[in-house]
Amino acid sequence: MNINKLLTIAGMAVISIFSFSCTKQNMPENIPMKQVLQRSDEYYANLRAYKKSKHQIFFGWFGGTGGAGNPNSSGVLDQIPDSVDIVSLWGGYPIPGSYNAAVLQKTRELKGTKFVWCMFGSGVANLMAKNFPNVPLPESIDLVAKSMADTISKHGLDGFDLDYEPAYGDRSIFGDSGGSFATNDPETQRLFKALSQYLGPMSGTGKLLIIDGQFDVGIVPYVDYLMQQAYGASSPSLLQGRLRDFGGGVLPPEKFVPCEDFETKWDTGGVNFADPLLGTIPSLIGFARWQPTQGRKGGIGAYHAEYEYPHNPDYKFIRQAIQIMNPAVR
Amino acid sequence: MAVCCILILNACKKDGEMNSKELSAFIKSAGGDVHIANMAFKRTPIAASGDSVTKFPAYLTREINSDVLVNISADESLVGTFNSTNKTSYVLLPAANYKILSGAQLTIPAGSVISTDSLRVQLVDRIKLTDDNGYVLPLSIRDVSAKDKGAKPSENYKTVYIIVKGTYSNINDAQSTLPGTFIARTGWVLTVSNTTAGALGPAMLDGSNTTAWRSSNSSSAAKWLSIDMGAAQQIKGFVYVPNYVLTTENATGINVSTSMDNVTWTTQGSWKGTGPATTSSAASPDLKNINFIIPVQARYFRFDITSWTSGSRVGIAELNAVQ
Repeated sequence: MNINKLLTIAGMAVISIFSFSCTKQNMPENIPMKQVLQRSDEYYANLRAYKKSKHQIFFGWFGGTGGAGNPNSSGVLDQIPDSVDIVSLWGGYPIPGSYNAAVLQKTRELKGTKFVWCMFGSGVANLMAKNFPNVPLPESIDLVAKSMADTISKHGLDGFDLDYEPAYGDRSIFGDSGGSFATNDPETQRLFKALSQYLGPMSGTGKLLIIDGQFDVGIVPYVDYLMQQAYGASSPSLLQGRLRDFGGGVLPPEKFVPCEDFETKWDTGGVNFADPLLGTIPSLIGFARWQPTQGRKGGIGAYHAEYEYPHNPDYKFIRQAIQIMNPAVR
Repeated sequence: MAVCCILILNACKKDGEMNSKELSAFIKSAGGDVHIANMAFKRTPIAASGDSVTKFPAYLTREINSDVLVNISADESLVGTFNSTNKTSYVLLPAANYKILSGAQLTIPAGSVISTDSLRVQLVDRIKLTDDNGYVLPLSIRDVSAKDKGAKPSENYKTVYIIVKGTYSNINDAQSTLPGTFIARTGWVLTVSNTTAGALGPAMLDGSNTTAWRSSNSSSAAKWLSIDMGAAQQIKGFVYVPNYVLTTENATGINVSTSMDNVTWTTQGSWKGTGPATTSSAASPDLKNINFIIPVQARYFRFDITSWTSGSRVGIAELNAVQ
């Protein structure tokens, strides 16, 4: 082997090393990325136990719920905060068999979140007219109650929420006997009594029976909650007044759930609320801190709760309010 | 070797089963603030009424398949932090003024998230709880024991603060006529909040049931009267003749306070009453009795009138003190 040969070999070896180095440097490597939040089985078991326990609830009317949904893009039902107790399907129940319908069922099973069907009084009256046109009035109420309960079972939902606003534009046989706050209406009472066989505390089924907006003095034992549209209430005394007026003097505090309007006030967490200790705070936070003079409230809620998703962190006021009512056990 | 492997594997399996993760035992009250249990009672010089027992159970964040024992005891060291955090001045509830009826250990049975019994705290000798600031008793989880070694006391639900507040009243609910004599009113200096023309404060001392002190007609101005008796007196109560100038202007609620020096005042309590009977008149008055449960030694007496029959005015025709 002459010197030239040796040099050539040595030179090739050096080139090979460089080549290898280059190859190595260009090898694709995993870059550590932020993981999507993964929760443990224990976390979900604790969450379900919490949902079953007695506590001040968080309730929301969520819009955008009625569509099919899409596994490739996150939608309203994918993003509901874990500690929301009850979702009223303001956008309707998802299309059966759809992605959204599956997400709803998975959320129920995994997180213990409850989903209720929502309809106006006039909607129920229309359903009666459509399905039972020739049945006399009291009996047709009983029949529509049965078919509503069937619909709830069919879609695997957890109950019903009647949007009851006879003095605020939703005119029907329900609440037509007058009353600006609480009514004393025979048809409304008949409806809730009929529904109470299938839903609510009298039914023994564990399903929810909810009224929102106005209230009726004859339905106290049948309902779980009055979700009161206390939109823009800016002080504890105004909330106390809402309980007095809309509760009709008969609603126990643990069934009273004042709600804020997040359709218009999501970005500020509500209006300015005069808290006796903290001064001016967002009203949803004020609602969470407030307690009726008669005892502990049922909880709080928000209309179009899903509007708050764009906050950073998402749903920040709702999460904060829930933590005020029920700090997470650490 | 095989036996060893089996033993080791079994040990691992057992540890895995009985060392649950994210499992906390905790305590909370049923009130609006989960960390606070309020007790309110009414105290007179001789008796107490209202809340005497409060209770709360222990909880587990989820069900497990073994019993969990939770031991709870008073933690006096937390009083200072609680007061500074909440801007309060509660005093530690003295050990002599409470007892734990249930025993300090609560059992959360397997398969449950709540203890079978509650920790029950009873107040003792409430009439001795005289501090107007109120009292606090922090009760904390001392330890948690279970076959499942994963069961740990919660960090943030470890304590329930029992807040005890007594409202003192030396005003007798009974409004019968007191035995005794009216004290001479000579030398009394009477001050009133405000007046109506022709119905000034001294009308209460003029011996005439047909004249009266009548407050102003303001719906917002406070309505009160104050008496300086000139020297300290032992007083059993007051008797007043209602305002018969206009019978709809009469007190239904009066807060009574007393003082020796016109600087430091003692609240004696609230009197609740009614306006004069419709059958009564200035000639045959419906006398109103504001009776102390035990006589009060004081020089200054003040009536803050908090409610009245109707309108915005209130009055009194004659005012006497019983000794």
